[in-house]
Amino acid sequence: MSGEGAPRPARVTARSIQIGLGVIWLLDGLLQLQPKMFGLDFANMVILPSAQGQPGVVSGVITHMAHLIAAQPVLTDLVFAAIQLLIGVGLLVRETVKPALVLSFVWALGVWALGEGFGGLFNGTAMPLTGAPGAALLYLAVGLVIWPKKSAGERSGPAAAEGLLGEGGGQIMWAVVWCGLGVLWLLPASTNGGALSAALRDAGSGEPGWLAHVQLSVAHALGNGGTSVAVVAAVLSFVIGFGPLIARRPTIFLIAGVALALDFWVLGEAFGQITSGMATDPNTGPLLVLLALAIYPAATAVRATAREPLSPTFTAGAPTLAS
Amino acid sequence: MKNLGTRARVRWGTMGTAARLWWSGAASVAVAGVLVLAATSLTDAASQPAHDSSSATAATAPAATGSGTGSGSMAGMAGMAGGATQGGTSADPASTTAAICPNVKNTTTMGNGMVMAPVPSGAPTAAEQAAANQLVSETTAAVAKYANLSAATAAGYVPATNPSGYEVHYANWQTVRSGDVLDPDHPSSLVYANTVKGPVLLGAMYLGAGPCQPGPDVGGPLTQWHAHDNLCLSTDHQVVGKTTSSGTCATGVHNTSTYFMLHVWVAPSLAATHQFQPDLTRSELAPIIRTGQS
Repeated sequence: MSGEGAPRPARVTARSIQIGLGVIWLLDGLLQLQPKMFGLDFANMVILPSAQGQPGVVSGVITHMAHLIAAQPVLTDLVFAAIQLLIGVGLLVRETVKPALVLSFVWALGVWALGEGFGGLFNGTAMPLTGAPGAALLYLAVGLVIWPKKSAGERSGPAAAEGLLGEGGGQIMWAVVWCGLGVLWLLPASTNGGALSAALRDAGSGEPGWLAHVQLSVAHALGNGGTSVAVVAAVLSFVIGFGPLIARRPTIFLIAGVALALDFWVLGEAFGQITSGMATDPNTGPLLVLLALAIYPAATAVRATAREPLSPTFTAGAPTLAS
Repeated sequence: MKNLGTRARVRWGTMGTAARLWWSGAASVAVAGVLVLAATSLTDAASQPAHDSSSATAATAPAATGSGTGSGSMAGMAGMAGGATQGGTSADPASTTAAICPNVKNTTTMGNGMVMAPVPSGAPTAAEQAAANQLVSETTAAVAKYANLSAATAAGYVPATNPSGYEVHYANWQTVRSGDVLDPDHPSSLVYANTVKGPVLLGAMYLGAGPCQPGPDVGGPLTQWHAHDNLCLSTDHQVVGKTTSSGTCATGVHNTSTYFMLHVWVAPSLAATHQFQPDLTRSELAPIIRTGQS
């Protein structure tokens, strides 16, 4: 189709998403090496809180895990960091992408269950504004979308087209994620009058002055009227989720998704509270952006196709067609 | 199996250096993980008896065992009935030893984490009853000036529990540090309910002269001091949660060097029947919160 000299479509490749995901995993591994993580704070302040309000079995497993970590905090933390660094490096090395993704799926599910308490789905605290349903699930979603096919795959579409699920599968994954967020927005954890402002105030605690100021200002503006904001966010989430499946041009929905995700990331997630010394990951914002990039169409390719008669190849062929 | 080994060797031979390093790292991490899991399991198992005994202490609330003290004054206290009933009895006298303040003998640990200081058993004497009444009346008169929360905060009372909660304790740490015990003019803490009409004064809370030192039982069995063995405190001494079943804190630190305390409820709806009740139940608080009337 594209002959010599034809403009290569500017597109996000699956490989670049793999590298992006790898970098995030490396960051997670480095965060695990923060000084506070080597003490009991990791068990007491990161793991145990996710046991609160969970069903008995879940709470018991999380508490038991916290005991195990507390028994050998340094060694456990080193292993946890090593696993995440291993996943990150594995994604950066082309040959080890698959085993690294498999390891990331297992690890992410474990983190989602034990570290994130299933994203708060079972204890009524799941709030998309603060990162529900849990960043770990998004690692899984992005990983599945960019799982490399045996064959070379489609090289002209979005990155997802190169993956096992294909372009359609990527869009379905996007829809599942965003419609899931839409459903969560409608739960009492978000729709209760002052829930959003309370969450913003909590998120602002301990953050740098400028960020806390922004968060508290928004919290003040919301006051007890967060219900309508939650409903609007839910509707937006559904539109963003279904948009790429329905509309011919998914770009606008992807950009809207990225914008909304970055809003959550800044306001509700405070950049994953990455400077708190106790952050384990940058939370959902960057992963939602990666997911958007994975299904982002090769827009330049479309424009290039429209201009193709001007390319040398087609120009050369033009007289034949004309004759 | 042999075929698998051959394929693995062939695969290894065709791998790049980076991939080989990655797989070597993966194998090392896997081995380290197994070793750490084994080590943590062993360590945890070794510490398990301690966990079990402490949780049993908290769970069995032997109100009818040990010294036998305390049950008389707790009779009729709605807040304590659940703990006593839930705990049942235990023949193990050690179960009356709290996880905190071992220097205070014959305490009774309730199922809800309250550690009751010993008091004389039986009905209060006339003198004890009179002293208790006097403490209530003096406290009621003295804290009237704090009916408005702003007056309390202006006097140096700061939140000692979640200020957004239904029931909030405000402590005056200067008074606490002074060791001024049972002084109605200078109560260590004030308790407010966050009602629909704003904060409403519920009562005062006196603290002992220092950690693990119950104050005087001026009212005999009526004025039983208590401590909590399951509270987690922030660095600024605010109660931020309760311990888990294993005795650890999700946030904050476990308050093992804790004060004994005595509440005096002065709100009219409480003063008649709940004067010294260690804590209030939701059903006792609910009418006040709903109406803003104490």
